[in-house]
Amino acid sequence: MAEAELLSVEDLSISFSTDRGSMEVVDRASFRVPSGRTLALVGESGCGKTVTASALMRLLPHPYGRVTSGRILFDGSDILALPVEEMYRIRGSGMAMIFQEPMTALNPVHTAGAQIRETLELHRGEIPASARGEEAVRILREVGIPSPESRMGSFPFQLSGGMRQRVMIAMALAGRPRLLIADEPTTALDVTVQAQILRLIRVLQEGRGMGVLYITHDMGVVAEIADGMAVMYAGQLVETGPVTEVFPGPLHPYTKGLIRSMPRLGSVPKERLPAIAGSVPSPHEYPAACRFAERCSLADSHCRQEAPRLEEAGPGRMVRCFKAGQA
Amino acid sequence: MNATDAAGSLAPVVEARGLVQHFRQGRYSGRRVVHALNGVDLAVRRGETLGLVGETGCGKSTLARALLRLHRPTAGHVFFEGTDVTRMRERDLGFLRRRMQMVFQDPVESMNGRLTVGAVLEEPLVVQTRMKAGPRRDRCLELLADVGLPEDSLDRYPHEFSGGQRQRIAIARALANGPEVLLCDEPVSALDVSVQSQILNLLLDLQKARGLTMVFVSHALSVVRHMSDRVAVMYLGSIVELSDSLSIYEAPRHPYTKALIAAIPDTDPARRGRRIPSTGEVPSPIELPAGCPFHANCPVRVGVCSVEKPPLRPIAEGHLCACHLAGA
Repeated sequence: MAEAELLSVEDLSISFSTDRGSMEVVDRASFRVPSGRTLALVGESGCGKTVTASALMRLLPHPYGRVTSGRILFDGSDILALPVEEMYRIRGSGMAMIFQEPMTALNPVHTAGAQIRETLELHRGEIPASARGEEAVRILREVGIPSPESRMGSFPFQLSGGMRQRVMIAMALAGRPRLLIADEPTTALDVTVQAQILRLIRVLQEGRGMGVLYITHDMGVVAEIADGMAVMYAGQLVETGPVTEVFPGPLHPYTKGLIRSMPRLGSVPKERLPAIAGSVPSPHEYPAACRFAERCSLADSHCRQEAPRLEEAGPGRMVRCFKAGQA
Repeated sequence: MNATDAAGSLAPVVEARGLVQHFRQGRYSGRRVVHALNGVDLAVRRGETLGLVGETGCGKSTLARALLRLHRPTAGHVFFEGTDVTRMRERDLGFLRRRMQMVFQDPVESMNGRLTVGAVLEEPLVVQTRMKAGPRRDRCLELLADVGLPEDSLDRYPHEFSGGQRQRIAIARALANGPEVLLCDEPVSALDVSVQSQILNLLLDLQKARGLTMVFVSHALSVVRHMSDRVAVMYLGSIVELSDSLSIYEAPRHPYTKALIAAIPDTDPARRGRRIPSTGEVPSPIELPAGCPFHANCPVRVGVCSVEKPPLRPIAEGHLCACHLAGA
């Protein structure tokens, strides 16, 4: 599969209007997802990663959330300029999304089979109504659901967490999307189920040349699934690059902190961890200078006065830090 | 009470023997019984951290709560320093509440949001001691300092704090009466990643400073490895393996533990694509399978596994395993 540009996001800014006035939650984010590749969008709760994903699908809560600048190119067409009817077609068959909590995405009063058949009806018109059931069973089997024929008639509440997640993935895949947006789909799952779901996404991606935008805060998952990574902090991308290079040599102190602060299998038990001090600021507290400076052990007066820009730092790598690469 | 006292460190502080915990479920669905714990033997030694791991529903939280006597066990016994507390009435359990405390996953839900932090911290002192208001306030200030919060926190409300700070308040409250044992049930799972390690460090520091005995429950396997001296692996209400944390992670002997450890995502992209054994679907705790709880999903099962439940037995120095096939 050639590395055709599937999704290209350029200078995307998103604002929300609140009681306290307009609040910018994403500040000029740019990234790309080629076909057949996985980009991990990494960050903590509130950093803007889920809002970014919603903007890609044009699902920002209307009228509070607004894209204030930038472009989203999907397969060459500008998502933000498309008529609503065209978006209906793209959601599901162009790009599809899976979420952390399948119960919020699945309809509790419809069977798993009915929900997948609905996706087929909307996005796979070439399949005659009589063959939809068969195709739904095939997709359930593809995502690793044992005895899928009998699961077709199950309601979401009758399924385990891992099974629900698979049904949601099956629904997302039924429309044969070229881009899958996965918003923390394994965060609520046990490691054994997580491992299976990650493997499933990888297998499906390789088989279909699907692009994947994988949103997570878990560095272990990033290492497990992604080709490229984009680290977001307080609404800004702070570091981007190939996983194989960022992991061994993170340049931004925040990336470094995320990678080193969590216990790993190789760490010495009961030793203090190199923690990141402080906590994540909320959007109305974002400083005008470097947003990480307050928590950064390297920060000096320069960092507290001026905002660093995202700059190139070697082939395929970008970093937003005056002290990039220092200890 | 010293954690480093080698001879004394082997004496159990809290102990479960043959602990069985059933819950009745569904008044209208034929009175089903959930078999949450099925004969658990476990001794927590003074000064150690014992990690409890396992997947959702394996009984690890139930076990922690049972040790604290928050449940009335269906069968078996719970001992605290050799005293059988299994059938003790709630009003006689006051001494246990002073000496054993719990930290929960979600500091928002486990704390009354209408009380100031000072009132939250004071409550255990009011209930459990006869301390006067002045000394109580001093004690609260000490507690805040111990968990790294400023003094002015006392008159503020929990919602004014970030998740990590609220967990610090919850820890301070648990420590109010100077307990010897702290049970932590997923204490960092609800926190931002960049804050988790701060709380883990705090727990490590507090343990060292106070010689605390800890039970650390989590589904995050690498966190448990980091925090624990010994780790017990649970499956379907039974402990299937127990050993020091390095042996469990580096040389697991039970087939379930092996699969569980292999599934941990590694922060090394180079190890991607390694073979991860499947553990299948966990059987229902309502219709408990006969024999070994893991036999239906076990890659190496033999005939006896579906008939006889293997006992948790020593297979090496300090290493217990409940598997018919784990050779000594």
